[in-house]
Amino acid sequence: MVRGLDKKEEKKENKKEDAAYLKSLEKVFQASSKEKHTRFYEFGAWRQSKRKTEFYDYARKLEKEMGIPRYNPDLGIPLGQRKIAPYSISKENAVVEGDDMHICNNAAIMQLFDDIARTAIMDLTPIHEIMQKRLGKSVTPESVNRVMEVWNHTIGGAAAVQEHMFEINPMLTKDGYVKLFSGNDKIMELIDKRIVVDINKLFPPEKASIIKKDLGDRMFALVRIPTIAVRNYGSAMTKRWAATTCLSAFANAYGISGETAINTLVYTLRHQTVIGVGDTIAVRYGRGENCPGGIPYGYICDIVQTDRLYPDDPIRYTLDVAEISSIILDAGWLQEFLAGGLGAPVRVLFLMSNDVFDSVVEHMAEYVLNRYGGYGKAPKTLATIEEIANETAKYCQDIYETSPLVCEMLFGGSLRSRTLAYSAAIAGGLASGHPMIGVEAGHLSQMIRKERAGRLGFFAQDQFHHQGHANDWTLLTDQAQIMEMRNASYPDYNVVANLTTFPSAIAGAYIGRGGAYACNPVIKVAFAENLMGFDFANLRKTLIKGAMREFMPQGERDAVIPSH
Amino acid sequence: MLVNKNLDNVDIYSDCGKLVAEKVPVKGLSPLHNQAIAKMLYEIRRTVVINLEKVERSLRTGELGGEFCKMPHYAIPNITVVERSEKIKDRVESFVRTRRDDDTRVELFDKGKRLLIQVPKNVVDVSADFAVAALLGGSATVQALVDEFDISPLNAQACSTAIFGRYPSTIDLKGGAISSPLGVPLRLEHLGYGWRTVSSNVVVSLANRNAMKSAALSGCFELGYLVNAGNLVGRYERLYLLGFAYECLNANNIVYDTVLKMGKDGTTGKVLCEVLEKALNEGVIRVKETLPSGFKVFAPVDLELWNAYAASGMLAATMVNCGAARCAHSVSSIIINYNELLSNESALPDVEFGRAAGTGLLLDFLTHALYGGGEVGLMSGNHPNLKTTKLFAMPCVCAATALDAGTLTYPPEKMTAIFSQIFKNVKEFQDPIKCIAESALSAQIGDE
Repeated sequence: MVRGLDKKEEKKENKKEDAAYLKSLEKVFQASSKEKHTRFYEFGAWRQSKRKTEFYDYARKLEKEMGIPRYNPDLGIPLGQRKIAPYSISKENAVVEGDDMHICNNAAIMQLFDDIARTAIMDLTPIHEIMQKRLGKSVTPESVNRVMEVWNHTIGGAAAVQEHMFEINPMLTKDGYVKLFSGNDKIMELIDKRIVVDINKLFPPEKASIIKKDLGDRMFALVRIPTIAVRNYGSAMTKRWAATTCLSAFANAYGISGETAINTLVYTLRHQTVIGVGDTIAVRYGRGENCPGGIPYGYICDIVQTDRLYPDDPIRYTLDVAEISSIILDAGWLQEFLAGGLGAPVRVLFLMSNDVFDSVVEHMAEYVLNRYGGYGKAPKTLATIEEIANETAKYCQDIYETSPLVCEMLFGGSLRSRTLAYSAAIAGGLASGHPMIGVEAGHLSQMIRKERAGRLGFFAQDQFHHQGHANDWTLLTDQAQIMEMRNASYPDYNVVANLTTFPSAIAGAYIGRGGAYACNPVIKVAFAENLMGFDFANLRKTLIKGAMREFMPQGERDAVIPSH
Repeated sequence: MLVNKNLDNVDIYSDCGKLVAEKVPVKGLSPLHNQAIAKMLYEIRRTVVINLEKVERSLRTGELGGEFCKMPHYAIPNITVVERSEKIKDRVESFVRTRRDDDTRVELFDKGKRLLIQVPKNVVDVSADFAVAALLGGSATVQALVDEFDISPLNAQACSTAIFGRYPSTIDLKGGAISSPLGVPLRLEHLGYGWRTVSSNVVVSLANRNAMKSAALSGCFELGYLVNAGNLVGRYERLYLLGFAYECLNANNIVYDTVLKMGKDGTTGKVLCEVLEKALNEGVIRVKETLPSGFKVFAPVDLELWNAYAASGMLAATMVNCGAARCAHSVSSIIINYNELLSNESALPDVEFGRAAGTGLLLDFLTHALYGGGEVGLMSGNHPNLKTTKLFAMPCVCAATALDAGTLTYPPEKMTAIFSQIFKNVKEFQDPIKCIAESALSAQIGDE
């Protein structure tokens, strides 16, 4: 860790003074980065926050209306006088308050969770085979178009038989829809353009070519069930809603009714051809399929679409993957879904704010280019793991120790640990093209930091990284699993584990290797288009819209409640 | 009041209607006393098959975890798993075998494409649930692959994913290459349901598509469940053991006789009349009252024995109807109609006191409607539908599946054919009725 200040180093020091993250931090903290004696702790507790003051005023009105105690920050145990600084979103011209990035205060983040929960993909090829071989029906472009027309009717909770069924107001379910995609352009040319997910338009040519080759001739249906359905019935509803509405459409379009073939279709739809985003997880967690705890880490990398829209800025993609993973896994799954309500919303923000994480990742990307001559060119060896871990730890520890502002923003060991682990994981993946190198670099970076600082973050972060190496290389049946298929309910992961280490490494490795997707082409295409939902290609911009109260979510009940 | 259960004896007839054992004590048919049933349950519990052909394909392409996942950085393009299956088999055996003379069985099937692993008794004895064969067999194969092909640590976990699929990230072996006659513990509907995870297709494969043997084997698994769930005890023990004897083991040749007699032009109603007449003649039921219209109201003399007669009639009706159509799908309708006719025409309790009729109704819905379920061959006692009838419905479902001549989209041959090959030399699976009967005769039941 010790280094001499030779000329090269002096140049680095000068460069550091001009670093973007220091400028951002000086702006939000209104202090110089060189100032060693700060006045951070004299700001009037919660009253310095415009948003918390607003909450306080609302709550007083509520107390009068409801007659029971409401929100009162004066009841909170004081943790010391601290600056409640707003967050400058990295590379975006926007400053947001922390409270506005709490999952429940930000309609865009809620929509992000809902959009994942309500997505399923159906492989229609086996269904078409049953229609032809078992039922003797002709599957034609016309009949496929008819199915899709009916399915876009039933997906919103409408009946395939009329007229005495009770149906859902279409304004409540307007965001439910179904579209088709395939790797075969000739097939898709015959399909009604309104219901086609056009891979050629959505992806750069070389990526489109890879995806189409891997999808082959199969025909897939992208199904987004209405947001209100998952909000009412939970994420496990998605596969069932998708299968039942699909079956209704097939029965209607092909004129089939109660018979065993119907049931074979249902079984095939529900159990053989439907692809969810999240797998079933252990009953202990009390959640169904498609919940955040069951999403394979590789899928998270394919949900993010920045690589598709900004292919010339691959680092932006890795940053977005880390950020969305931190939202889904760290802030969402661990702190809200599992811990229960009182979360750590700072985990939504710390990676995308004040240019800190960006600077570390960009430094490491540059290091990888210089050290190995390009992405994906480093040998997949322990030496690479050590080099990446050392460099990331050195860089991060350096900025932690030389800038009180960085430490003020990344308060507590927890956020500093995460920043380091995730950037090392990205860099390891970038360097080698293999996620294992990235994850290992993430774990090792923590051990290096622990040697220096004597601790990491919360106890369980230490546990996670101490066990990491053994779990990564294991063949034990309840632990052995490639990184892409692991998820947040994989054994040994706990309420404050640095789960984002995994998607970060996978994303870095995907960029290192090249190609069109990290793990699954079907998932990649499914999130390339998202009508009326979260924009997975512009993460930060969409979250800012949520914080600014400019994002219009779906699943609202306005159509059936008094105007307000 | 204590009942001397040893007084119940039956004559057991084969699936060809030949007497195989006389005065078989019904209590000796319990899995707790019957070595033949215990042997079959043991064999099933310790058996797993690894699809080496699929493992090879996954490792060659990096298509791991199912559902169109593809990760070429894990691919080992030239790996020859099937070609070197003999060596893999030897390595697996060296991992699984605990002693030179234990009963470990590791064999290749389908020209090296399938690897059978049966874990030894001392492993089964110390296991707390029924996942051990899949886990030990899978783990041994993973390590055998890594050793045989000297796979690097970076790719070693891909072997695990190729075999175990998404486990442990999910609760079962989704996307993997392991086939087991049993399901997984984390998918059980209720406690003690392990033996109920054996599907109709597996049972039919084990019984080589013989309908009566399928019913017999199905009954064995249901009895195994009854023991595990604490249900083969007290006042329920005689009900289920008698039912098993008559419905599943052709006690007193009722099933065979009835099917033979009704095989040409029988109907569900005629089968029912035949069973009622037999029960009346043998004093199992009596005429309780004759109404002014002439309608006779019957009552059971021996409730459990009558239930056993009724259940044997239900299986016979299934075989007559599904056999005539050579189609499994109507089994649900037969269960409904048989039991509704029975209760409406005789005033006697129907099979398992309404449970079978209810199961038939729901089975009809869930095998013919758009609300889920599945084909008859995919059904098991662990299904929300069939779990409600203990013992009596699954044998009918299995017999129907056995009699199907190709109308199923997911038939036994497509889903579970390997199991018929694995157990072709195990006499208990080849002739379950005879083996169970003979075992019951020699059972050490003890004094009551």
